[in-house]
Amino acid sequence: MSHERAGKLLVVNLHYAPFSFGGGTVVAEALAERLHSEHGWQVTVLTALRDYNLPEYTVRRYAIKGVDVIGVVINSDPDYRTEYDNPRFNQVARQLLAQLRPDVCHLHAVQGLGVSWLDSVAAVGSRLAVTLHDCWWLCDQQFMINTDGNYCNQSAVSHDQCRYCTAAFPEFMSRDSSLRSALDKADLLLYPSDFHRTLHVDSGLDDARSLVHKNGINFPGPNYPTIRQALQERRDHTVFGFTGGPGPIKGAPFIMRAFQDTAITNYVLKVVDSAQNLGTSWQSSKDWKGKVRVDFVPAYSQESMDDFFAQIDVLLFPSQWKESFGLTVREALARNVWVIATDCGAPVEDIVDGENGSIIPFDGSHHKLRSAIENAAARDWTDYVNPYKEQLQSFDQQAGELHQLFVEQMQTIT
Amino acid sequence: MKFLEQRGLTWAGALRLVQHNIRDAGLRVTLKKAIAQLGRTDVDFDIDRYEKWFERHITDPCSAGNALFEQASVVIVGALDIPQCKKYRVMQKAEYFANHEIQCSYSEYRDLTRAFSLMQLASVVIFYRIPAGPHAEALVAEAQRLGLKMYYDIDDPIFDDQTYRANKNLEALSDRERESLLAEIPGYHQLMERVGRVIVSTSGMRELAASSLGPETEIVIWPNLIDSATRSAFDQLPSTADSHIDEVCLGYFSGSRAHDHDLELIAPVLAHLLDKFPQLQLRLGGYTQLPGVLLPYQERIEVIGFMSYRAYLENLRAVDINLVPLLVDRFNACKSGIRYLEASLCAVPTVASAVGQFTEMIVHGETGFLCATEQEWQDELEVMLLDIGLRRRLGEAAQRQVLERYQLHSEDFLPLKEVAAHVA
Repeated sequence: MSHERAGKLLVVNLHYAPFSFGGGTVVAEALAERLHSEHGWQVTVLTALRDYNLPEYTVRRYAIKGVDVIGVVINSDPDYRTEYDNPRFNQVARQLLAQLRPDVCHLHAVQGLGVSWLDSVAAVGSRLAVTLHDCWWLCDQQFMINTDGNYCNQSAVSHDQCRYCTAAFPEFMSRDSSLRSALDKADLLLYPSDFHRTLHVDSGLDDARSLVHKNGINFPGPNYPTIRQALQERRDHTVFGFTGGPGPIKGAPFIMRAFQDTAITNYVLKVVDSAQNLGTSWQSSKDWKGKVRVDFVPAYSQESMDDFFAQIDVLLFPSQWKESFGLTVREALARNVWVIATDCGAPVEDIVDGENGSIIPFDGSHHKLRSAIENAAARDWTDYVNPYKEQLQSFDQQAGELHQLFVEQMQTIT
Repeated sequence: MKFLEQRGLTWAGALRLVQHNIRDAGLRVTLKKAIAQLGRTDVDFDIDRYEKWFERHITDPCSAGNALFEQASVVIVGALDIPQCKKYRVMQKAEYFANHEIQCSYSEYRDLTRAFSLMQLASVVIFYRIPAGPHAEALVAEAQRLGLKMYYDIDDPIFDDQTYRANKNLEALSDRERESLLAEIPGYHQLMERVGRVIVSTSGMRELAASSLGPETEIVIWPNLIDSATRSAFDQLPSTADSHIDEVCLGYFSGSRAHDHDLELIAPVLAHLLDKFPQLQLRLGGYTQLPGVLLPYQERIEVIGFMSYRAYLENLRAVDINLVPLLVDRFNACKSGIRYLEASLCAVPTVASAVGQFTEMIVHGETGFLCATEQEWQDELEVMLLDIGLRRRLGEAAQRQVLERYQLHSEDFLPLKEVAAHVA
């Protein structure tokens, strides 16, 4: 780490290592670590901790992989308003900003942490960048899933439709105005895909400050092909994997219905219990009940990811909302795992239908999923290699881009 | 409910905690722990679990607080149960830093939840008068983990066995109280050496600390001063007319129980003066026992017990001469001049024993009198009793001096600027 110090960066995300959870957190961690180790930033992370041993809103500071972390204990689930305006978190955030005086403040997912404290960012002379990982900024359901469980499928968010979806429209409007005015304070609005940027700009966010900043992934380690081959030789059936957890958003009920309807039996369905990374479990969900046999596998980390993907032939990604990126899809594609995905926005940007995956219609039905599963079960996956790996971006490339963006931002400070 | 509250838990949180414990450690261990918790009433925070969390998940060292934060931030963790100590040693620092836009917060040391939480965003921690023990251990370890600049602030020679034993007023305490105080001395001493940087209140304290702690320990003086709360309380006192030109009132106000010997010191002088001047009154405030020689003059002696700070200032302002007799010994050589500062703010002239900080603050014959012997006490008091003009001149000069030099706001008070710059 012989770099000159590039600047002081404050990263804010709802989760952080060692309690990593979700694709957005993987990205936030990967970027924070690389900006520190490869580009000379002094990186501090502000995050929430769940620790039932500690009283609410106590603070603890630690360091992990060269990154200093300030964790604020938030054990209770936030109510509607606290999710975007959390007075007790504001206090910590404002104090930290005043003491840290960062050059750049970079927000990822902040639901539950709130945004009212962002008025202090410019006050301490910092630039503000926000990466919009999902639709939380526009939609109080976060993923644009209607109360009936279906994706609302607006190509530009219209309050005329939201009025009929949200539980309380006046509160929705307060939320919307708070979040939009928070985003007005940002110098950079970053989106992980072109699809996601278009949705937000068409929904009224500023075109000029909106940039696509495509997510990277961790590529497999050098031993991956050997491990995968050894495992494949030992099995005579297709192994399907699913990482999305229970609930309709990521498509778990569709998977269960598809397997219930099919006559094939020469398969294994592995479901990752990712909630273990948060100290809980998904296994007891009623979504897994039924005739279909589910093999639960422990949550994996970025370090143990290769071991998981080496075990499976096909990743199921029947997402029922339009994804902003689809980290798992890229991680699978990079590891020669075939992907069956709905036509769900950004994830399919790296899938060539029939060549490295199957794109099924976004039609709310499980029938096309079933036939894609049946086709995949009939195929011999030995020696399969994804021919389009080169178009995937690494975290190193993504961090390099972000470094450039932040350096440019700092040069505009007068 | 109180059980959960003390531990900062909700019902749901407690339930989840139990679930997690059962999963991690099994039912038997969980039950044992729960029973142990039920038996604890003193602790609101489980240090062991906190530390185990770190052992389990985090192995990287933290950045030092002052390397991480651009702006210094001070947290004072101390024994806040004695109001006067809190005022002079904790709140005055908090006020000073706030006036200079330095973040400063404070916590009672037994409230580890709060103290730990505040330390996380600090670059400097000042431990004020915390005794050695499990709380101190946990606090120092956490400050070290966070790479904080540590100070130990102390305003009494409770870390030096010889000096502390020299305090005659200890005799006023019960054997048990005395023994328990004396037994704590080595703990304080070790803690101060371990912390490595010491803040004291007076130059007498600095000399003692320097000789007691050895050369590795850095020692700085942060004096006791007139703060804005004192100023405000003084400014709010009702105005008075000089109603008692014929009468002269001497005042003696003691802060704690440990001052009986001090009053004994001048009791014969007071008896003599009460005898000689029939218009002379004596007002005793705080914890006092009337010395036997004064019993014949009880009609002219007003004994007031402990009172509010404002009532204290009002009583102080109403006397004509403020008496601060102190045994001249190693213990009192460490004493700060608070009682001179407060009287001077009220424009009341002080006659004090020539010991401790009084010898630095009082300009003999100009802003008060310093006395080393009984004879000197008698002579100076007689002169003052007979000369109302002298009393006024001394009182006004003392007030000017204090307002100019010994206010927290006094911008030219360089020692404070220097020590504050040293700290944060």
